[in-house]
Amino acid sequence: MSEATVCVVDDDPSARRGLIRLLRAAGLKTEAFDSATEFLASGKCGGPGCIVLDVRMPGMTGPELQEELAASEYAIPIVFLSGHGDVPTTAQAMKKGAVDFLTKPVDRDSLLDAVRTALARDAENRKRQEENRSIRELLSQLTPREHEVMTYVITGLLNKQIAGELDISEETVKIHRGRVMHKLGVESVAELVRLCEKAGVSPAETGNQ
Amino acid sequence: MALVLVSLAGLLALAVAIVFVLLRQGKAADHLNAVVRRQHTSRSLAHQLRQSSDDRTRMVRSYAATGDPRFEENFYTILRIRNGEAPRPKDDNHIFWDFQVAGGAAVRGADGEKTSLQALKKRAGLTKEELDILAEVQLRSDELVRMEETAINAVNGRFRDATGAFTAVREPDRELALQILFGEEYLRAKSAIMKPIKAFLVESENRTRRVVAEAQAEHRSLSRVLVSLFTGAVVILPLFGLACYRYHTASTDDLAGSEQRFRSLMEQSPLAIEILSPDGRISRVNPAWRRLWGLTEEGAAEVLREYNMLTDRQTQELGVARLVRRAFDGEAVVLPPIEYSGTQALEDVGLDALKARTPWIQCHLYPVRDAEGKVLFVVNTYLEITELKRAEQEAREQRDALARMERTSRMGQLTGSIAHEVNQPLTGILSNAQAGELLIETGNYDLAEMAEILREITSDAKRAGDVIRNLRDLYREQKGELEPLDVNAVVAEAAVLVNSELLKRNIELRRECAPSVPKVNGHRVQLEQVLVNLIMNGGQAMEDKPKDDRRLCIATACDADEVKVWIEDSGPGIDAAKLDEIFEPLATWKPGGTGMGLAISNAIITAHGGRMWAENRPEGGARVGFVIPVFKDDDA
Repeated sequence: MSEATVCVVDDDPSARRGLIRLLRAAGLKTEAFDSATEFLASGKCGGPGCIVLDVRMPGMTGPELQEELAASEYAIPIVFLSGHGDVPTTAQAMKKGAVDFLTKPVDRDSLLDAVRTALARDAENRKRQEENRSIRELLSQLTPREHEVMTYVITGLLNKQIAGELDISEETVKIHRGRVMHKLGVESVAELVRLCEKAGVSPAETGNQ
Repeated sequence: MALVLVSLAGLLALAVAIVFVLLRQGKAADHLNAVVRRQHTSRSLAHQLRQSSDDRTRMVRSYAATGDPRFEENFYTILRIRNGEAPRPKDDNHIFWDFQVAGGAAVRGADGEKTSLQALKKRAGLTKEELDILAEVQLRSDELVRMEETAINAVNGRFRDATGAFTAVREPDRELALQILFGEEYLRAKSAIMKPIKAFLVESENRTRRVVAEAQAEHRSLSRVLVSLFTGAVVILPLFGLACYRYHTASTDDLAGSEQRFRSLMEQSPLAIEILSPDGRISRVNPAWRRLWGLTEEGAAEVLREYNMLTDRQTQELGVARLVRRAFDGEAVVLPPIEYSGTQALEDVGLDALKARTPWIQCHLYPVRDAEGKVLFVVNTYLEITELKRAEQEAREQRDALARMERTSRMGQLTGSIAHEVNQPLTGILSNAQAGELLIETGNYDLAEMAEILREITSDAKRAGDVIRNLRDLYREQKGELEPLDVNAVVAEAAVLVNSELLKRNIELRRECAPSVPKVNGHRVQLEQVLVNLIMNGGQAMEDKPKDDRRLCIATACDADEVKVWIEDSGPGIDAAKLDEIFEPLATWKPGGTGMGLAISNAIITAHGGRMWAENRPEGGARVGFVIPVFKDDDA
């Protein structure tokens, strides 16, 4: 995996070079962009790493980039840096998932903390993503019936009940369940539930609910 | 004047009439005199006739009585005189003859004239009737003379012969003589003479009386005419006199009046008037002049004595000496407004004790020439514009205050943006400095990088300083100095000021400045204010446009005389109806704004000697800009 890069996106040369130097001095890998569009074109949007993003820029602004990234498959975490912080912008940015919203001139510790948090999140995200990917892969190995059974299993129903729901024999249920557990590599229903949660698989809707 | 002429004509007519009448009278008088003289002469003549006759009679009778030869001699002398053969004695009267006989005084030779009675008659200018009468008298007299001669000759013993000549000699017959001389015939003959003489005299007198009566009548009527003429003259004369007097006083009044009017014109003029002689000294001033300078009459008199406009130092220092010279050379000039210190002028000519005002004045000088074109004197009329200048000053101050207010208001809007602009370099500074610290802490530094850090910090600090200074200038009270400016640089500074604001609004600002523009003379802060105003206006115009369609372009261009700066936006353009009054106050008012932005900008540009304009672009949006004259060194 390539090393996490902190992307500094800021149109102002003074701010940009100062920030870059500071981040580098902190031992981080950095790359500078003078506009949001340049950043988008760079292909670094998926990371790994994070963005130190200025709010007011000509062309695409920081918040606009945030939206753009949110629409894409995966967006690296953003640390906003603004020369002019007003509450609405801040609130909006945070609501949309920014790691932090700092004001210029930014103190080293604040910046580095935020960046490290962002990087950690990115790593976290990445891990989860990876996890999810593998889970999905596993899930994809299930047959539709198995999948269906699984959704009932995670509701906590007994096999007998599941059989009733699905109008199949309990045995069949047991077989499917076994295969699911095996394919997914889990040993308990609890694990299965957690895995499904992670994968975003919703429990089935049973008549009992 | 007409009255004078009319009365003069009347008087002349009267005079002529009077003269005429007088002449007539004179002639009448002469005529009368002549008549009277004639009568006198006639009477004298008649008298002489009678006298002559009586003398003869006496002589002849005396001779006849006495035989004294003297009587005979006298008789013949008288006869000779009668006939004009001997001069008439001056005192020709009977007394003379008595003297003659008694005293024997010789008949003087040339006493009188050798005139015969005929001649005398002729001379008396007698009428024909009179002459006839006298002729008859003559005849009768001749008869008498005949008898007298006969008598005398009888005494002498001579007697007529057949021819009538006294040739017969006989015994002297005194008795005969006496008989003849005292006889009936002789007496009859004598009275026969007297009758015509008397008739003649009567006739003469009658005639005279008639003539005299006529003359008197005429005289009377002429006198009456004369009296009325004189009365007329008496009436007209005073009239004439009055008319003359009035005319005279009118013309002296005119002259005096004209002089008076001229003096009043000067005295009462509210404008200060100064009359200068060709040598530059002041010859006359009016009260308004004294008021202008705050001088008393004595003070003014002193100034008139000492001051000379052509050599006045202050006039030269104020740069108007050349124009003044032109006026004295014969050309009307108007001086530009100047602030002239009366006190200084006084000091310059040595009048230290006097003080005078220092007004703003505008002088109109014009020469007054004579018929040959020579300058007689120069008139200087002062227009005091101190109040005007003061008002201008106030207006300027108010305009400045208004501009400041707009600036302040605008700056209030931009404060956030300014803060943002300052924060950028500050971020750079802080980050760089902390990076440096971090590098030192971790031991990863090298001097080259440190140097670079410090350079960048310095540069950023300066940048921040510039922004702050710009802001400070904009807030400052004074309007700053007039200096040669590079418009492109001003545009760049203005762009920095508005940068953040434009970013906030997603406005793209493009700059298309001419590669090099000549300098203009202006106030940097004010021009920046105008640019900021125009940019912000453009930005506001595009509020409703989609975020990626907000484009501003600021451009500069120039030619030899002017530098042009304009801003184009991609907004909806300016309402065509409002285009004309867009630079009026409140024409572009929007909530939250002052509405004064363009008006103030216009005032600033106008004060820079330029002008603003606004128009709609054919491709949509508005274009607002200004031109300012290029700074030319010879303006200084």
